Amino acid sequence: MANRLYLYPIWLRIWHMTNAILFLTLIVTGLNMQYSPVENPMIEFQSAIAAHNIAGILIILSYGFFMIANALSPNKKHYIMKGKGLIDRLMKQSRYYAYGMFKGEAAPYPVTENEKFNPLQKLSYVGVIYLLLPVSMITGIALLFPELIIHEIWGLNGTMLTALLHMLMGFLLTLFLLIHLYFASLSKKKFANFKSMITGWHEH
Amino acid sequence: MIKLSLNYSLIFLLSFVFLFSSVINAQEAVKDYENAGENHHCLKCHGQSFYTFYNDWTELNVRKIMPQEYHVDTVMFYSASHGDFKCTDCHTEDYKTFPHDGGLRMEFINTCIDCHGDDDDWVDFKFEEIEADFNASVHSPETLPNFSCWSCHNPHSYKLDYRHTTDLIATISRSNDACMNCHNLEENMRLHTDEPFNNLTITHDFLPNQKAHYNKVRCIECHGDLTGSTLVAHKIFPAEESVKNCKECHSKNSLLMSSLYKYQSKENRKKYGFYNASILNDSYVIGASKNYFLNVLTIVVFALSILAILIHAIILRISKKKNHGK
Repeated sequence: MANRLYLYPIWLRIWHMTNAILFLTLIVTGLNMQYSPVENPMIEFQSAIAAHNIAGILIILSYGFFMIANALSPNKKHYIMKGKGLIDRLMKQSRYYAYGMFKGEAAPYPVTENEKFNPLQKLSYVGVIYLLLPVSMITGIALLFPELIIHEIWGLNGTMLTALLHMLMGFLLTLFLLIHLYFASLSKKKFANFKSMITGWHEH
Repeated sequence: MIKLSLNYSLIFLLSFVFLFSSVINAQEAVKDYENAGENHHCLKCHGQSFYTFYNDWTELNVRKIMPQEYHVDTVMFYSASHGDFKCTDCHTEDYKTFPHDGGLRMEFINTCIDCHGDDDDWVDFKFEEIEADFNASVHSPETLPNFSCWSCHNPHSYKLDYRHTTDLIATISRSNDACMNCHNLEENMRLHTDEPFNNLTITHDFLPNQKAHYNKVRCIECHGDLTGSTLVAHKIFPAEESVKNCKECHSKNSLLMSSLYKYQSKENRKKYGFYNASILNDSYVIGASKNYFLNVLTIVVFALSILAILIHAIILRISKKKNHGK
C-alpha cells in the first residue's frame, strides 16, 4: 500500500475523462469537415459541424471548470514552472527518455505527492493548458461567429488566418495527445497510469 | 506678408484647377448620356417619386404619386447596361403623348433574345444558351407565363456586374436580391404563382450559419445548373433537385470554382499552394480552402512522430529484455 499515492481527486478525473471524450470528438469531426471525401464522408457534414460546435462549447465550459477547481485546490502547484534550472531539468529528463530508460536507470524525477509531473510533462501540460487550449478556444469562438472576425489582416483574409491558427492548434494538440498516450503507457505495471485516472491512485 | 500672399495664391490656383477639372468631368459625364435630353421628357415624371401635370378639365395643377412599378431611378438607369438607350428604343413613341393611352400598357416588351439573339457582337454572352436554359428552368414561361428576363433583371437598372467585379460580396448581394425579390416577398411572388410561399429561414435550416451563406454565395450556386457553358446559370432547379450535400462546396474540388469563382479564378485548381485560392480573396470555405504544403507538412510531422514513438517503443522492449537477462 505504501507504493500508492492519491494524486487524482474525483473532480480532476471527471474533468480529465470529459476532456478526453470532447477532445476526441473535436479531432474526429474537425478532420471530417476538412478532409472527408464528397461521396462517402465518415460523418455527414452538417452532423460533423453540429457535433464540433457542441463539443467546442462544452470543452470551453470544461476548461473554465478546470481553471476554477484547479485554482481552488492544491493541484495548482503542479502547474507552476520554476525558471531557474529549467533547461538542466529538461535536458536531464530528455536524456532519461532517450537513453537512461533503455539502460534501466531510475527516473530522475520520480512521482511524489508534491511533484506528480516530471519537467517535460510539466512543460507540455502548462503549454497545453495555458497556450494551446486558450488559443484554440478563442479561434474556435471566432469561427463560430465569423462576422466578428476582422475581414482583412495585412491583406490576408482574416477568417483564413483564424482558421489556420485554429487548425494549427488542433494539430499540435493532436500531437500532444499521441505523445501523452504513449508516455502514459510507459508504466511498470500494464495500464497502471490509465487505471490511476479512473481510481485516482498512482501506483509506483 | 509676401509668404502669406504666396500661400493664398497657391490655394487659389489649386482651387481653380480642382473646379476646372470638375467642370471637365461633369462635361464628360453629360457627354456619356447622349439621350438624356430626349429621355428627360419621360424621366421628368417617371424619374420622380411624385409627378405634377396640368389638368385641362379642372384647370388645376395636380400632384400624384408615381407608382413604384413605373418609377425609374435615373442614376441607376444611366449607369445601367442599357443606360445609353432612348426610352422609345424599347417603348412605343406613342408614350410621348400625355395622358398616355390606357391601351399602351398592353404593348409587347422585348426580352434579351429579341435584341441579342443571333448577333455575333454578343456571341460571348451565349444568349441562345441562356434562352434554352431559361426555358428548361423552373421559371420557364411554360410553368410561369408571366415570367420573363425582366422578372429578375430590372431593365432600367441592370448592369453587367459579375464579369468585371472588384467587389464580389456586393455582386453576390445584388445577385441574391433578384431571387429574394420574389422568394422573400410574397406579394411579388404572387405575380407569378399561387404556389405556397415558404419561409426561407425554415427551408434552409440545414445550413449552419445561414447569414454567412447568404452573404458569401449566390442562391444559384446550389439552385442553378452549373454544367452549362454560360457564365451565370439560368437553368434553375426545383428545390428538391438543388445541391444539399455540403461537401459539394466544402471539398478540394469545390463546386464554387465552377460557379461563383468561374470567371474570377486566376489560380484555379492549382496543384501547389492554396487549393481554390481565389475563394480566399472573399471568404474561407472549410474543406475547400486547403494548402498543399501545409497538408504535406502535417502528414510528414505526424508520420515522423508515430515513427519516433514506434522506434522508442521497440528499443525500450529490446533493452528491457536485455536488462532482464543480466
